[in-house]
Amino acid sequence: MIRAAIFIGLFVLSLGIGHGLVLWRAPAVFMTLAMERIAEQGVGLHAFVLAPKVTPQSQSVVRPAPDLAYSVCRFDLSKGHVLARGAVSDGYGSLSVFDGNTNNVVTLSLMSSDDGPRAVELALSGSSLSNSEDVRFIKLSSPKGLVLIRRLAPDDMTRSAVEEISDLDECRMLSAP
Amino acid sequence: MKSFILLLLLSLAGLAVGGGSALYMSGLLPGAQTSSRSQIDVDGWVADFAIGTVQTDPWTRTRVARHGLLALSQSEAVYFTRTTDNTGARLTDACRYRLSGEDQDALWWSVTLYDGQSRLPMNSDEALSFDRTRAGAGSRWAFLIQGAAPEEGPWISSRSAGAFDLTLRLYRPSEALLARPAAFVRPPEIERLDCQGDVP
Repeated sequence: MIRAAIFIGLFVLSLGIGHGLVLWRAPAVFMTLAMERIAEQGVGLHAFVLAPKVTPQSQSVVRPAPDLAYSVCRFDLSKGHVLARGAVSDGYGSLSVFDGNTNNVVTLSLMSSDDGPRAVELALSGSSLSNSEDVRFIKLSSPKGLVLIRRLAPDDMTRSAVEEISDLDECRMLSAP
Repeated sequence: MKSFILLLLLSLAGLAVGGGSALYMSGLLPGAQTSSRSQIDVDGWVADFAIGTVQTDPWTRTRVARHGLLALSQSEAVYFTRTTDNTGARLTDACRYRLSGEDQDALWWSVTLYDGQSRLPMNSDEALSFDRTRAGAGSRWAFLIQGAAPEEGPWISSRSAGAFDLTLRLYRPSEALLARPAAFVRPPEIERLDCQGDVP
């Protein structure tokens, strides 16, 4: 009887561990795979790269929006703080930060009709940071992630305009804290 | 020794069943049904407003990591997905559809077709989506979903999509829409026109 209870208890315990382990690790695994795919497409660390126009052949993540232009910056905070700034324009634009666990940590507007900061300074938890009018300071628990700029570009004309303005986007590592 | 092997096998089986159940509850295994407390259904268009936030339950977070990675949080964008037509049948590239609707209470919106792998369908028709800039602000609109270009009018190509779904993106939705989506989202209607061959 006791032996059967031990067997059943061990099975239930293993089941719970397996369930929790998958839920805990799966988002980070999918995010890591996506970041690796993006790196393979020529997106280095700490620099924005305007992705090619979204087509079935060029898609690198699931469910891309073909009406949007994406600029991507990969970051690694283990080497220091990172600053990401998006250029402002009239059409829809946003700068969003995703941590290594897929969370959308912050999103800033890049539309000229909106006020507020247009840049983020990213650092690991435990760093000393404070907000300013121009820069939103964000502390992350994991070192790696993505900054993604989305801009509305449903046709060739707006796509050309986005290509020009995206040259003004900035993603760079700051000196070590 | 025999008991040790049995314990080891039971542990491995438990880990496998536990991991599998996590994937199933996250909707990542074939045939799995998903739902979460934050899920919203507006006439068959289903959204989860907790996407992209740390408040998301772990099963939704896992599903989104696989099928909607880099989705924005609700204040910036919400995503409604529909998998069936007006008869309740699964959307498929074997059928033609007419999608119609009106403007949304958001800065910008779009409708995009994705295949069963959450990818844009592998065709070169350059007809992947329909958005507010084409519909016109405040206007009623309609377009066709089919495997070849129509003689006239807007369309989305379903060529090579297999069983597909449609995603309605609402960027910068109004606060009223976020608070009462059933009252403020205007769900597009999907009318099945005709089908070819065997429809699953």
